Amino acid sequence: MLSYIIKRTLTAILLSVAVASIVFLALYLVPGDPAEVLLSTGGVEPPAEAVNALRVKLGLDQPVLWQYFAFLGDLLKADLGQSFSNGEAVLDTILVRLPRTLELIFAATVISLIVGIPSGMIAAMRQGETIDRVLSFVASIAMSLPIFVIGTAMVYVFAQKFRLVPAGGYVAFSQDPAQHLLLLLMPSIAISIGFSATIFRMSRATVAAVLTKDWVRTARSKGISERQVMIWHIVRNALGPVATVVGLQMGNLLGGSVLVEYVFNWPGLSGYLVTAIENRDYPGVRGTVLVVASLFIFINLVVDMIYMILDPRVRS
Amino acid sequence: MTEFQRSNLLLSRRVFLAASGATLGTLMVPHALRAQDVNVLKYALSAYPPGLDPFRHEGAAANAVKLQIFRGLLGLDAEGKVASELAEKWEETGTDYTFHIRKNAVFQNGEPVTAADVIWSIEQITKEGSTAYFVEDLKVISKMTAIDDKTVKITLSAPTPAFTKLLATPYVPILSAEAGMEKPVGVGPYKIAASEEGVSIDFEAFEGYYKEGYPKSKKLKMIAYKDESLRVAALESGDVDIIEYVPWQSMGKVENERNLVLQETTGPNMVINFNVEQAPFNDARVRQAVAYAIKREDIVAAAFYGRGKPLFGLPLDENSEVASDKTKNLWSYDPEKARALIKEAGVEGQTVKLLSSSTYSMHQDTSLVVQQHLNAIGLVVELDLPEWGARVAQGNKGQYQFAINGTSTAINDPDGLTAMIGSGAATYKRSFGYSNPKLDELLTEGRHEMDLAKRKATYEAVAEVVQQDVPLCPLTFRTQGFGLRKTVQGFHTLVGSSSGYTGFGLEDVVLG
Repeated sequence: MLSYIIKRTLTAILLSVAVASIVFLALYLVPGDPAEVLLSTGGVEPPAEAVNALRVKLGLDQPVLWQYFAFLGDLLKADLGQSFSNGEAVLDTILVRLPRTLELIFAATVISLIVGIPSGMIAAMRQGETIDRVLSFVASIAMSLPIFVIGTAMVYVFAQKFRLVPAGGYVAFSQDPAQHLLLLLMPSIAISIGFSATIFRMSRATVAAVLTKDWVRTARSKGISERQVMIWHIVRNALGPVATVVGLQMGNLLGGSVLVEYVFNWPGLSGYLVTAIENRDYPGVRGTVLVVASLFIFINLVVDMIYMILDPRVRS
Repeated sequence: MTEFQRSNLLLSRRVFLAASGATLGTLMVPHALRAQDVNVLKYALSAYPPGLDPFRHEGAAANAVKLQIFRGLLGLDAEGKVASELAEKWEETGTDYTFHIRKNAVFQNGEPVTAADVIWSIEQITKEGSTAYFVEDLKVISKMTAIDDKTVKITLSAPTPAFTKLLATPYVPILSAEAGMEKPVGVGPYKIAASEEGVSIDFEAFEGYYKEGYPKSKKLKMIAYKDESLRVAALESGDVDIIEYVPWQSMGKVENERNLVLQETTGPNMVINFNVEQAPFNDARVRQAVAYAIKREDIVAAAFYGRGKPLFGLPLDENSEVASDKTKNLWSYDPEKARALIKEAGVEGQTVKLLSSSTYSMHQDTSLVVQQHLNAIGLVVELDLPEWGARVAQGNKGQYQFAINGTSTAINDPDGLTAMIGSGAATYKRSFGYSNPKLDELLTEGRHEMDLAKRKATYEAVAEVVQQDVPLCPLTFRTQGFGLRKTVQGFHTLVGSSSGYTGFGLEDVVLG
């Protein structure tokens, strides 16, 4: 198992470097000069002299290959470079932004698991009955609703109509824990509406499949209590594919929660990535993509391990 | 039913009561949490400032922040007139300006402001390798002398009526020479007390501010709301007191709401630029046809929800000192004339590509209206709608036939026209390849003319050339709006090109 983990980790590192290189080169293919874009924010005309000076300051006057090796050299020192916009270390900004996104994803995942798995199980056990039909119907609606529609509707209803919560925003946990959690509530619920529907469908399908297995019938006929059959024979065997889906979805959310972040003004990593792309802040884009890709690879590694724990056959 | 299912689904009365109680309890908590601190003035920015370099242009949101921590020699009053800031008074004699620094002016680190600081700060703008917004404009300064500790004499190489207006912007702050550029220290009414990356900036009043009793609100919080609908929602629900850039579609709603006030002024304008190095827009008749073909009212209605005005003249501020009927009415909506011009130029039925951008709906919607009107006079218009960064790059390189642009000048001065229609380096703000010696001569004359009557005449002459040669086609003014809660007192939106500098007046604002 250890050699498997080492092998997977090495592959992960190689993959990250490959991702970094591709992103680096791809950015140079995107039209738009960073110095020009930065100095013409809001559509003003930047003086040519300032644009040239900024280009020199940012090192953009150097040959691309030289910039590439400088970037790789910095990467070895765990330095993601300085933002073109404000000169601050990209890594510092990411370290501020990433926990916010992780927190959002984590909260959304917990809610989705709590809602998705039990309802999936119930639907599977009552296949074809009214409760199954209702749940499946609700799930298909939840899955097809775009997140910006859910988000905007939630802001309208809960913030503007009933004034229960602020219209989005962020307060640090250290500053005001209650307000922090309150602000976390809406975006995480918005994400979990679609997410729990996905989990619901996955667990409904897998539990339904497991229910028909011989060993379940055997377990029941041995006289084991239904609760134990459920936990040790059904759920354990059914959760493998669910874990994979949850892992992939969490990875997607790392770079893909931008709409939620936008609608609820949640200052996470996706929002930073989009602003960095708009501003042609190359170090910001490179750093974020690299971190997201590495995390994605890492999450998949963890999912594989959970798989191993759930299913002994994978271990060998 | 199996035992497991029963145990799970059975809902006893006790559980039901506990669950409902908990739900109700959770719903009540937020109400308590929403109680707002009335001593803090809350201002919604349209973006989190990308940076806070004192001299660089970093967008309107950054200007709003910088104006609170940095100030220059001059500023703008509620009417948008040049007013005293660090300089309590100043004298102008031809090319010589003498500024008297307020005796009580100190930097936020407690050091007094001296003539040497003023000179050092301005030198940072014009020095080699500077990325300042005014790096070229302030090269007009030929000499700076410290007459004494609190008096500076600035000499210009040529008379420049716009000079004091340049100083009355956020781009020429006076900084402590001793503190340097690493961590710039200014003299603004507020100090930054705390900031949360990408979220908000907390300000507290700077006790040593040179204006007695200011800022009137002792605490200020600027919160970034990038999404315009959410910005409006935050105002409506009372999360913030002032929002900048009210989206046009929400202006009516803000106007009609009982607790809210809309302050709306005309701001920047929309124009069309031409690539005059290529056919067909190298022919002035075709450019004229465009100027006559477009019904500006349709753009105001479609792209700006009626929040704007047609623009048939030079793209100057509405309250520009040189504006007159002769600069305002150069063309009219006359499709017959436009059609005749197209025929005369022999380009009827020709396909032309209009560059705009899908990033901003106002650019995209404007291009759609223009397309319709030009198709109606015999051109066939295709749209090219790249993302903004790519659109700027294409504009700079001249990779377009004609293009929608939004413009405004840095200051309310007709000399801003030089950057739009004068000869100079190729940028996306200029019609590509356009150069007209007659216009250049007039614009240079206008730039250095101190006599207002003569200056007016010069720009009327500019207007005559523009009418015939159409270096750019003005389309509309668009309005700029701030949304306020009724409790906000003392807030004044500045007009036209100064609207982005409304942050000067935040020190006057109190919550009633």
